[in-house]
Amino acid sequence: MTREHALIRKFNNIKTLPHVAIRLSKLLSNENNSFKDMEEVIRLDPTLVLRVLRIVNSAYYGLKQKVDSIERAVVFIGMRNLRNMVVTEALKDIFRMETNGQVYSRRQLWLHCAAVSICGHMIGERIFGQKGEDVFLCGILHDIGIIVEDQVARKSFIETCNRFQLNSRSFVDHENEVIGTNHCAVGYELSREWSLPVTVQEAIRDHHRLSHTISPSSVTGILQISEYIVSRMNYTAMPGMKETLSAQLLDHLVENIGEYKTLIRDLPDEMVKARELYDPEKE
Amino acid sequence: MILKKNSTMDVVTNLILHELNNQEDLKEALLALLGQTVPEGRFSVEFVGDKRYVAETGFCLSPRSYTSLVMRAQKKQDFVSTQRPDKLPVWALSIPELHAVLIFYTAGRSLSRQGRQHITRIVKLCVRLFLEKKSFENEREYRVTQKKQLTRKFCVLENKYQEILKDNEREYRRIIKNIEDGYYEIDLSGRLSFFNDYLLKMAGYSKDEFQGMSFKNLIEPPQDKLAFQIFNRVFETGMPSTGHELQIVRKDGTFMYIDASASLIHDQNGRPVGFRGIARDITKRKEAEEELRKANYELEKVNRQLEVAIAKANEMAMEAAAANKAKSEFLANMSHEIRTPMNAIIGFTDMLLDSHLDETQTDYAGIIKKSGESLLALIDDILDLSKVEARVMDLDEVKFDPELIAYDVCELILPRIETKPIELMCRIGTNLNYYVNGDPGRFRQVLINLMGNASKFTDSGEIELFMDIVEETKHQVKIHVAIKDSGIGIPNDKQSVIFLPFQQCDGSTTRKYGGTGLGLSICKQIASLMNGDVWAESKGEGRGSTFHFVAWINKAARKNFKQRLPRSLPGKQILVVDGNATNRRLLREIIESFDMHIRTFHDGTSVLPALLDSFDNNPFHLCIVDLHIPGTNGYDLAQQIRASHQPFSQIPLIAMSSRVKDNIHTSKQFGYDGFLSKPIRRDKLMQAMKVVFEGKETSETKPEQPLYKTVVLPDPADNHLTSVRILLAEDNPVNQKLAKIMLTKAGYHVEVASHGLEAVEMFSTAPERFNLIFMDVQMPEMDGLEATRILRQSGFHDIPIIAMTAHTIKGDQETCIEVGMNDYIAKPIKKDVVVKTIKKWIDQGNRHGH
Repeated sequence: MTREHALIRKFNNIKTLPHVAIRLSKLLSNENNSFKDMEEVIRLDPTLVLRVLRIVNSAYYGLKQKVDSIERAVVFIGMRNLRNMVVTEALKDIFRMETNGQVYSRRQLWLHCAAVSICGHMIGERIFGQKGEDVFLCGILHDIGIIVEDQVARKSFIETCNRFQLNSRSFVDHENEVIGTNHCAVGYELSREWSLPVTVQEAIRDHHRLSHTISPSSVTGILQISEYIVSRMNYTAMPGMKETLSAQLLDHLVENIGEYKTLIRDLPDEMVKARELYDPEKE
Repeated sequence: MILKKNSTMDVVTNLILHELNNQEDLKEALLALLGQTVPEGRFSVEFVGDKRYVAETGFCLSPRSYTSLVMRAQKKQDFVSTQRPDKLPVWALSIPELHAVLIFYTAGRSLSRQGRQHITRIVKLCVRLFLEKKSFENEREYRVTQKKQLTRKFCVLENKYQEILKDNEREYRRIIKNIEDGYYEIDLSGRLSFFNDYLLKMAGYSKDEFQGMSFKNLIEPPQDKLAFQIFNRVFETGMPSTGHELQIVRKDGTFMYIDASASLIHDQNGRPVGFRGIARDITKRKEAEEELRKANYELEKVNRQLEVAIAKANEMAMEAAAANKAKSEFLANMSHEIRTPMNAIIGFTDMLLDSHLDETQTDYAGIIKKSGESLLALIDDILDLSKVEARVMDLDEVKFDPELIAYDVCELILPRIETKPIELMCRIGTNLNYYVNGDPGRFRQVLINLMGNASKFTDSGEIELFMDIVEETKHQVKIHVAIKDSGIGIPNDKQSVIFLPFQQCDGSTTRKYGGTGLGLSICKQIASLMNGDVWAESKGEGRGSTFHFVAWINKAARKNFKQRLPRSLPGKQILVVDGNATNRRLLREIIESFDMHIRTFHDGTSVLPALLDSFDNNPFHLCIVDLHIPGTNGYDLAQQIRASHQPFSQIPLIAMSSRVKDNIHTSKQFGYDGFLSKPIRRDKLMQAMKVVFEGKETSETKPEQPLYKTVVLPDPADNHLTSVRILLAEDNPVNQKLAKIMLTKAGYHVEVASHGLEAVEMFSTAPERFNLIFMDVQMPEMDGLEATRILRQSGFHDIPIIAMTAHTIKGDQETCIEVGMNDYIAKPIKKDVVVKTIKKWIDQGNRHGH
């Protein structure tokens, strides 16, 4: 068993899994499942139902009519959206748990992920004319490996963080040295277990990999660009992390600087609209 | 947590741009503008960062001064300046919007103060203009780009929307496909535009045939008019309509029923374009309704038939009840009619035997008596059997002690085996600790029958009656009685036959032993009424038999035998002499249950030595001796002990015997202190021993009474009341005479009335003349019940009135008590019963009389 698997196995034993999210993913991969099936799965967690409905009815979706049931929600926003929302909701809980005496803040990590996902979603839709749902999901999930490490390999993780503070090498390098694997690999394995779309899996795996083969319009590419922008806004995953871009992505950025400027300018508004989604204070 | 807007975002952008080196364009643009506007100026733009700045040659400033200038500029909002070595000023202005600092000097002549102000103002203006332009351009660019981006977003959303629509549609189709009702959509001309598989199946068409078909093909007149009406109404009102039952013609011409609904379909503009609805197959329901209607009709018919039958049944039931009643009445009458002459036969035969007869006459009279008794017994048995068959036999609920009944029965049987060398034993089990609620009479009847058989069919040996409780529930106990004899036995194949009515073992049995053959079958019936059974076991002919009787009876109170155990008994040593092994065993059981010690001997030879041997360490406290032991008999043994001049010569002695000729008086003469008749009863044994141990110790007790009276059967011939006057009401002259003679002989004064009315008159005129009334129940003119009622109503409550009745049917006795009678005796009357009854009622009263 690889190190990633070992860590994940341990993680699975701590009851922090979003069962609902996993079941939903599996549901979605099968075309024959109905709205009813979805609704039944979500209903397993009554608080989840409430939270989902609140989000559906918020400014983020800007629906004219009020939605009062999951079935109706699915009709208006589609199953994929719903899945993403549910996953976000489910993960919020994990991220919201503060741990003591951190070298990093889980809250900070959550905000980083939220910002990355919103920004990435915008890039996907507004710049590339794609549906941004997978990017959104990626944004939320891409650093979950860090949570896993923190949870089940605490000592090694803290050691890693400490070393990172002192030494300018990349966080991933330190992880590999101390823990034996890194949060990209762990996140990748987890997303496979949860049967998430392949593009999402790969994006999580590659989000720290600089390579000219990564195209700007791919999920991985958008994720990286998003991370880059967000880190300049000080929404970093770890204190002191500064993202870099591959030459290819940088070129793309420079070529389309006008678009990106506009996007960045509109980003705050989007974040306000999505507050319902990500704000950990709101309950 | 909300991000700050625009200004910060510009900084962020510029940060990014800085990294991306796009700021060069900006720098060039600004420098170009400045160059145009202020030709004499020399300009440089430094982007802010952590570095040392190096000026171009023209500036003639050292890196240090240059850097310091740039740093100072950042801190201020307005120009800062420094001097070159050649005294020319160099200015620096921070442009935060560009994250840069502008540095410049003027080439050529040096400037006046005004000149310098002018220059700085122009540069400032230029910069501002540049920024405004840039900003404006930025703004425009922003708007244009935003529009472009939003358009892209809308495209994406449009696609999403389409996808959602498609998903929804797929979902609806799936729902419609799966419902087990027909779904249809028709256009305004009535043609089917959409339908589900179920509807196809219902109608029996293929998909191609159905598509576009007019719905009129499915409905036959006159129903088509109805359908039109429905659709019209829906069209006009816009409201859906449900619950219409229609008949549909399927493709193959068969009919089916549907329950249909209809509602309008609108297009996107809200115009009606067709109808949709559900068609539910209710054919089965309709068929079921029809079936129900038919069934109801049939049911009505059957009901009427049933009523007739019930009426008839009721009639028959009433007839049966009447017949039963008639049967019971017949039984009662028969009982009376037969017993009355029987009464006379037996009674007068007794009288005859009491009178002076010679041997032959006595012989003859004896035979008559025996025959009469047999006949009476037979009649009783037949009556009993008839009662059982007519289901008239009921069981009483009276509290009684089964143990006492066992002793009674043994005593009753004793005379019958007197002449035969048979040892009779009565053994009570240790579990028999309850009084019970049941019918003592019937219980007794069974035991008498079985014991009677044992005594009849055994010539020598033993008869043992064993009784115990073998099972117990909360409210009931199961009593088991086993009567074992060493008689002629029963062959295997006959062991159940004998319980059938009128069956004996074989014909020869009747001849040798007599009997009617009814007894056992009656026992079986009685046992069955008690939820029990009787059955026989035998090892074969000549090898004795055991008759078992089990019955379930309600519990009454608990008997606490052990508690009544006198304190003087436990621990004592008893010596027992009896020639019969079973008897010895029985005595051992009883005595050891009293917590006493026992040694047994089968004859008298070793008794005295034993007494002597044990005297020092463990002396005997009492000897119990059977008077008819082999060798030295009991009488002689007692004499030997008393005359022995040994320290034990005064040991208490109790005699036992089953012979009538032995009694307390005879045994006392030989030195015995007490006498027990066999079969031994444990209560009597306990009493006797108590008297022996405690009676001798206390001086107050009268020696005669406690010692003897309690161990002896009461003598029924006590004649201590000779001045009793009895009024006898009996209509039958024969019975009158019989009763009068019997009572007179017993020493009572008797006056006779022939019927109820006479009895009432006789008593009313002189109530103090009589101590007791014997009232026959069945009399002409006025029967006994009426007479009693009148007497009681007239205020004569004290006088005991005893009913004499030949009716032994349950209910009669209650009736007698109800009308005010005190007691009843059965006819034919027997002397001892009569005397006992008189004693009972006169004892209680003790008024009247002289």
